[in-house]
Amino acid sequence: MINFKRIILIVLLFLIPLKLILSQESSQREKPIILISYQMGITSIPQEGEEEDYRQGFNPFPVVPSHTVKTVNGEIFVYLYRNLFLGFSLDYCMNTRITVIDPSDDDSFQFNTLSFYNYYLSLRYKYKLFGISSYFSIGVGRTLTNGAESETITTNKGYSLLLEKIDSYSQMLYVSNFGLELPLGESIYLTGKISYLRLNMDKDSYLQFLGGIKFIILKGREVQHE
Amino acid sequence: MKTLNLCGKKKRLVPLKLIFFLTIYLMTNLLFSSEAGIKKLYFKYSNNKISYLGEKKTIEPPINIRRKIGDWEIVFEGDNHKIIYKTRIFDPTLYSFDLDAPYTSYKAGEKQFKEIIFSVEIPTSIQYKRIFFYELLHPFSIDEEISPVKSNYFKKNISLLTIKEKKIYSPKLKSIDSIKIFSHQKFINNGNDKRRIDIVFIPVQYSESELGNFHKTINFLLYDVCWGGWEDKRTFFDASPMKEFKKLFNFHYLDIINFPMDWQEEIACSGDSCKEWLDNLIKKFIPVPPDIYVFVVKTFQWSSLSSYWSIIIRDDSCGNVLLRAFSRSSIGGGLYNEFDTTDNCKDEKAKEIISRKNITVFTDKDLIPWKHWILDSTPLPTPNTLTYKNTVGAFEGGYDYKCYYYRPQEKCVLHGDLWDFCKVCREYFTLTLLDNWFDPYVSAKSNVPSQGMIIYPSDTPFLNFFITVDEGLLSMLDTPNIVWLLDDKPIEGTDGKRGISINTSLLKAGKHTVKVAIVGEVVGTTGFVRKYHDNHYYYTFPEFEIGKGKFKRQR
Ligand SMILES: [Zn+2]
Repeated sequence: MINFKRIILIVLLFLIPLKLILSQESSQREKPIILISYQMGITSIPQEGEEEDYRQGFNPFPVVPSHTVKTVNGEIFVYLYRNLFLGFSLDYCMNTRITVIDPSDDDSFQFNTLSFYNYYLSLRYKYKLFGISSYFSIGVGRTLTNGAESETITTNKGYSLLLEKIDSYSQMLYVSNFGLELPLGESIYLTGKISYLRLNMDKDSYLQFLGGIKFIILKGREVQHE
Repeated sequence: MKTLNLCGKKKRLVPLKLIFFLTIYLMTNLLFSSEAGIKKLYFKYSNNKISYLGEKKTIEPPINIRRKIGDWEIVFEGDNHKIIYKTRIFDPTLYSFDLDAPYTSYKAGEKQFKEIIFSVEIPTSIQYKRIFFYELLHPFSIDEEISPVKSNYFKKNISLLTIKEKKIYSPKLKSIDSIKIFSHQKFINNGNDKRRIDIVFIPVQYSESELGNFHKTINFLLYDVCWGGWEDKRTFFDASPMKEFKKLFNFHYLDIINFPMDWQEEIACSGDSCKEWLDNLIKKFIPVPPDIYVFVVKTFQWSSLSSYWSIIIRDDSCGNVLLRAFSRSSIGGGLYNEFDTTDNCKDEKAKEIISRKNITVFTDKDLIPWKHWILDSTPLPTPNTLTYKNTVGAFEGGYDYKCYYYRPQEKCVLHGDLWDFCKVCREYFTLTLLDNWFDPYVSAKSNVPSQGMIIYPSDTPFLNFFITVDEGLLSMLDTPNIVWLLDDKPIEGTDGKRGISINTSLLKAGKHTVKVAIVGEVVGTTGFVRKYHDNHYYYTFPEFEIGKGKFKRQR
């Protein structure tokens, strides 16, 4: 699965110089056919579990508090029809270190959250909002959580705790995005988006805030209706 | 490391009266002492005797004596032992110590102290006349209000299964070729040699044709105590506490010919090495070294108690001689003889100050080791009249002298006149047997994982603990009860059970210990022991650790 991400990156890197070559040959009147973007930001993950779920010996740390993780993103979009584009997006959400607390005795420990990938296909509709180029998209894909080896740690109060082994697992993902684009040059934009991600299995929903740069790497002639 | 405590279990609170007395005493000292400072007095302890070395500062004592308000604590550190004595000061001019021979160290396979040099610090202002050491059997009984049973309950922590194992020796002493061993008989067999008192009869200088006499002697020693007529025939095991503790003994004899009288000189051994040599000689027949050798010698030859592992007895002796020899050996606690045969009270020996076990030089009740047996109405010294026939007091005569020494009762096996021990000797003997030999545990099992493995309730919902007890020994107890303890607290609803199950999810995370205690009185000895004694026989299971639980990491 990690190889998959690597392949995408290689493809994206390969497309940048291609874009530069193509953009020189195209004229201003042409419409973008293929676009790519690189963005960075954060994904916000809500609290998991309730204090009432505490069970001595079985669930000593019931609550994982809400937190945010750093996220990098790459997207490629292809012109479909009128204002519609079809895109493929890939997010990598990094891990972060958070503290969890045993509500019975205030014991605590820190652990690294699991990093994960989101990849999905989306349909993007472009329009002008108060004169600013913006878009809305919905998509469907999968989210892949990276596993971790089991480990026995000592909590801050000196007790032993087993961090269970977790195998990588994936689940369905539904996404809706709202984004803005500010032109910086002929084929380059500053871009930002807010995404709402809904996970199928965990019944979790995340918010994502990303910003970055977008390039047009292939332009084409205007079609009849414009 | 094992911590032994003389008379075991007499840690108790210092009565307020004593603290008050000491405070007054120390203050008086501070106010009126002409010269300040501390002087160090050195003593040597060997062969059960204390000798004064003087006020030297050249010898570094191998032990520490720490002074506290109310009591003194003496710590002996041996190779494998640590023995702590607690003592008290009972007189402004006399400092006393509890310094009996630590009989608990006489057990087979253990080292005993041969010689200890120690020092005592006292204020230079004290004009002492004598400093002596004696055993306070019940030092703080006067003002005791708190029940000692409550305060000491479950404090003892000894893994009995491990301390009773006997050591197997591997001596390198020369052999005596003339000795021939024909056979071995274990004629009183109560099982497990490792946890029984094994007594072996050895014929000395017997020829093959004389072995029949040897067998007769053994029979006589055990089954005819020589007192009482036909209507009152007593055996060795009719005398308490032998009667009650019968199940702790194994008796053997070996048919040996040409066992020389001077065998110790021939092989050039001394002390423990002699025992090792003997253990090795008979190991083909008795693989686990016995605890006591009884050398049966022919009439007119030597006849006395020799060392903690051997008794020498004449073949014309009656059972009472064997009984007396036993009670004077380490197994009986090393009691003194109570004979009052010597008239000469000007003898040097008669000046020896003794006040422990069954002999004292004092007639002041407070200073008598067996004062817990003495009624306030009993006169001290106690007149040897019909009125006090069965009374415990202080009867003049004992330790071979008609005067100066006092014994607890008019009659006693150690006094040489009856087949019964006096109450004080019987108590001492009983406690020695209880402390050193009573071990009702046969085996213990549990599913506690090996050391270092952490238990999670989700994997191991229950921990199971089982014990197997020696039913024979258990039957010696009057009201035996089995009590299970988790972290020294009794576990509810587990009394009397041979096995228990602990729900791990109810245990707090961290380290825990499960112990099992057999609690009970010894049959017939309910009245034997009057001073506080902890009749708890513990087995401690390996410590285990409960983990806090498991945690599933998330995004
Ligand atoms: Zn006696």
